[in-house]
Amino acid sequence: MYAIEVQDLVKIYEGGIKALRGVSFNVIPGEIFGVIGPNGAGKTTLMRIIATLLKPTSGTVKVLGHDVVHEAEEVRKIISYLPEEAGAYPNLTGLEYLTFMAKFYTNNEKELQEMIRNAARICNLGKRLYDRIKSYSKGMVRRLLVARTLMMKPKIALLDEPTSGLDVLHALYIRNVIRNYAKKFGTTVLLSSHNMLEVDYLCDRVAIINKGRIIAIGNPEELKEKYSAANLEEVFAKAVRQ
Amino acid sequence: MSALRNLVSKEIKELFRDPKILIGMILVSIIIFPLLSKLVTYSVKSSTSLGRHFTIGLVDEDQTPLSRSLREYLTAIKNVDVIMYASTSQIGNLTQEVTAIIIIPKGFQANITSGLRAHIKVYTTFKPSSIFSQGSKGTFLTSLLKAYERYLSVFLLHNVAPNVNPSTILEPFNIKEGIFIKGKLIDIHPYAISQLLINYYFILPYSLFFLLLVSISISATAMAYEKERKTLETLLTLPISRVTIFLGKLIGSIIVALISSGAYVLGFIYYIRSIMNAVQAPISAGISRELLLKLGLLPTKLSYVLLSIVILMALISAISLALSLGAFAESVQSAQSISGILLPFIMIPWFLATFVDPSSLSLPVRLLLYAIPFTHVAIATRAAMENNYLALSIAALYLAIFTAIILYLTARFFSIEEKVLSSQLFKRWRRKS
Repeated sequence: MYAIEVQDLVKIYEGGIKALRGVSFNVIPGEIFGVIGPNGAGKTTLMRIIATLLKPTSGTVKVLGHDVVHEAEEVRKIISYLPEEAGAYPNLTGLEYLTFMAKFYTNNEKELQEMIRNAARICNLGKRLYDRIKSYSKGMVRRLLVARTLMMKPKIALLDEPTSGLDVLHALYIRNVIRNYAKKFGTTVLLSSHNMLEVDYLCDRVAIINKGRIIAIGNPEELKEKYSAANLEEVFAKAVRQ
Repeated sequence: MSALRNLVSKEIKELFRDPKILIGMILVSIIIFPLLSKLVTYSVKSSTSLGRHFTIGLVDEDQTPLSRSLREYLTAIKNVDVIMYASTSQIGNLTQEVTAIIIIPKGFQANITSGLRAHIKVYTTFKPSSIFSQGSKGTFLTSLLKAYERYLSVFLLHNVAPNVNPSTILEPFNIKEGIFIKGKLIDIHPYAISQLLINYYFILPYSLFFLLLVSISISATAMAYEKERKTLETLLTLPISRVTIFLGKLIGSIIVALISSGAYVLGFIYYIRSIMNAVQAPISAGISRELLLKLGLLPTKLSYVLLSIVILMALISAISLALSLGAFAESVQSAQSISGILLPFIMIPWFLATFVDPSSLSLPVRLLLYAIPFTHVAIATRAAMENNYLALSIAALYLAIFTAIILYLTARFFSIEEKVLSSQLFKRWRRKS
């Protein structure tokens, strides 16, 4: 069974804007799958449909065999979603925020503490976790949110631009966390980014999306070879021209 | 249940730590009202006789034993200084500040002794800065002169008819006021009763009205806060039902609204009572709650229960409506504007039902008024005072049905993620309008 199975996915917004025009791909359990493309390509719409936030116009999406439209509540138990423009509650402390989120996944105090310890390790905020989130920098909030997404060791993590707003060093740190997490706990990661170097570094397989269509899909090395390109940016440029 | 508790606890923490609610609605009520009452009490007391020093400029044009006795009377009063002037022409050169000028015109004694009405002129000093104490200064001086007038009347009567008690001529009868209620004559001053019942007839309806407004304001912005802070998307992908999220917001808003308006109402009651006590000492002492209950002037336990149901239903339906409307807003500011749609449906029927007798309205207006659910909160508070169980039950039933419909529609609305997530509907409505 695929971790994520997307078939002929179409999303047309009110007003006739076609965000997705028949997208199909599968994600194997345990792999890090990247969706890359420019702004407005349809990446976030795709992520939102898989995260059960939007309903597709047509086509199907299954997450570990559960349909995102008809079994949305089951899907939400499996996934953990990090939106691109996510925020946190400014009047809570970092620790309170993590505790609030963790409580939706367990009633067991030991498991709860374990999740919070995990999150504290991932975000690496130290004593700042006891401060209100409104005093955090944008980068600190993003680290807290990545930690929130991964702390419960989800079966499937949907990460929309996970390193957006982070400086070079923290972005590198978060990429390593995602990579290690996927390996250590067998978490399937669907990651969207317009940073093609990030995707090249992290992903086992990549789908290049442009104007609501997948124009290339495969292992980064295979794609580079296929398009005779030095990096994924060149792959993208050549795939778009074809 | 634990997910709901978790959500409610987060809502309460977030709302109470929001300076707009903590400072703007709770601390301000607790601090400002007592402070305001102290200021008003002080200004009321300082503008009345108590502890106030008066300097009176007296122009005695009559220069008779009677005018001299008035001067001696005024001089003998504690806190009153009298400065004498021979004529009104000297007044223009006053060097000392006076509270008022009293002129005893020529012929004062002659008029009185020949059985005619004499005149005394009182001019209070006017200053724009003391506009609020102007009336009380005049009232105080008039009351001093009235006391002298009575003393003079007694003296004159005694001279004319030494064997008659002057009081029986000046006040041949006493008036004893009471109330007539439910076929019974009760020897309680009507003012004393109204002083006691102000809590129920004024403060209770006012508090409920305020509670509904606060609830709407808090809950309308609850979803917009989530959108503005970009937390809604995450919340909607958590393994909890939409209805649980909605209930979390609903219960959180009710608790915060109850505490905020509770603080406001406590502050307001303290303020009103302080002012009333400063203006007039309470005369309601001695009237027991038991007596009021016996007279049917207080709600019974059953009335309270029915009224509580009405209030709870009104709160739930108002908050549900505000949450749904607020979900269409993209920002807190626009949520507040959208929630304004609800305000006329609370304020207009409230004022009409509180200050106008609905039976005096035409049938179509009355039916329209009764169709608005929140009218029944005002009707129920009035019915509770009269222990009108039928009216209370109808109000409770009507609001219960309305609340059930609203809850069902809101739960359905919140189960459709796209509507909660986007403000498409509102944008379309705004474009049309």
